[in-house]
Amino acid sequence: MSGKSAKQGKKGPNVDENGTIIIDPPKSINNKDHFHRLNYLYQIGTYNTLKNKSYIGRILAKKYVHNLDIISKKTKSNMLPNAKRTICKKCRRILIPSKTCTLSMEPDSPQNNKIKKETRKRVIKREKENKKNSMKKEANPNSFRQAMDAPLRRQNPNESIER
Amino acid sequence: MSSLKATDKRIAKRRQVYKTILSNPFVNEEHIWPHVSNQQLVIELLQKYVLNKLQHLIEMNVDKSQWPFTIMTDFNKIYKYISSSDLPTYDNKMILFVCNKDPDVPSVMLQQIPLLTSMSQKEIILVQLPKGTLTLLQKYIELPYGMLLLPTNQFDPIFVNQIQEQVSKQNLAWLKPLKYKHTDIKLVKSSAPLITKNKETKTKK
Repeated sequence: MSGKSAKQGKKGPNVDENGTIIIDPPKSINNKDHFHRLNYLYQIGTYNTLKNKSYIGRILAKKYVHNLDIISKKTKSNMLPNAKRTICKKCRRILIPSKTCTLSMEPDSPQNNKIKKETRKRVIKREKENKKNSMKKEANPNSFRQAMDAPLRRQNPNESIER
Repeated sequence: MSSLKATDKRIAKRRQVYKTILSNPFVNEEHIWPHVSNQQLVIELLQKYVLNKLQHLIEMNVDKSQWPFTIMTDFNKIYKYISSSDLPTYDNKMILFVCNKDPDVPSVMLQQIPLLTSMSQKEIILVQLPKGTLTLLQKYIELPYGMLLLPTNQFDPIFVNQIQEQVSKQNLAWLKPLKYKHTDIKLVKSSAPLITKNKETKTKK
């Protein structure tokens, strides 16, 4: 009996209804080090965005997340889309609402589900461009004082230097 | 005699593959939304104190500006109100009802909402509603984004207290004392095609 069962086991792999060979999940994971590294970089990036409010801290956070992105691409180790969505694709920042990003739904698009995620830097950049344009427009002497006041209204001078 | 299709299915064409994937160490969606102990009671309270009044106002054709309470349903307005501290405030304490389990409301849109409420300077009671409540709410009011923000000072304090009792406090531990968390690696089950030698030669020919 035992011989027969062994033969049956050898006959072939377990095939699914759709014609796929079913294999048990692996007991060990290859290249675990890469995942440990990515996990560490993600966490240290988040720590620096949340706690370290200095200019260097913010640059460090961006650098860590940038490294994370490069390593994940080179080692082909993927992250869950849920985690990936918390990283800005352009400036490589951890997206924390009301701290590093602003969310907005494009008008009349609940069906399209278009969500704009804007990091603070981009908003500031737009503001700056608007100010430049306004400065150009307001070249007459009456508006000179307003134009001079414009840079003083900036809340945090560090944010403009960031790039 | 078996059919040709059945025999074709017996021959394996693909094999199961497990791909490793890194999970987010912080954002665990199961724990990020505050737990509601009695969901049925919350819906009943909502219907009794808010929806019935709304229905009555709509039937009487009362203009929205003359309603005795203000409600917010627009995503952008809710986001602006929660995130900023400068806007004129109705009250610092608000209740935010979210239909996060309904398939019509995109989960990507609501992903950042619990984080936003916990980081807000205002006190916001986040209440997740059970599956199927969006259709119930849409009978009374149009909810394009599945979110309803109510200022607490314009409603009965019994309603506010009872809802607050049902909802547990939001606990996002990782925001305060940030500690290193171990890597959470998950396996994604997928399939890959089997390339046999015969097929390869056929393709070469």
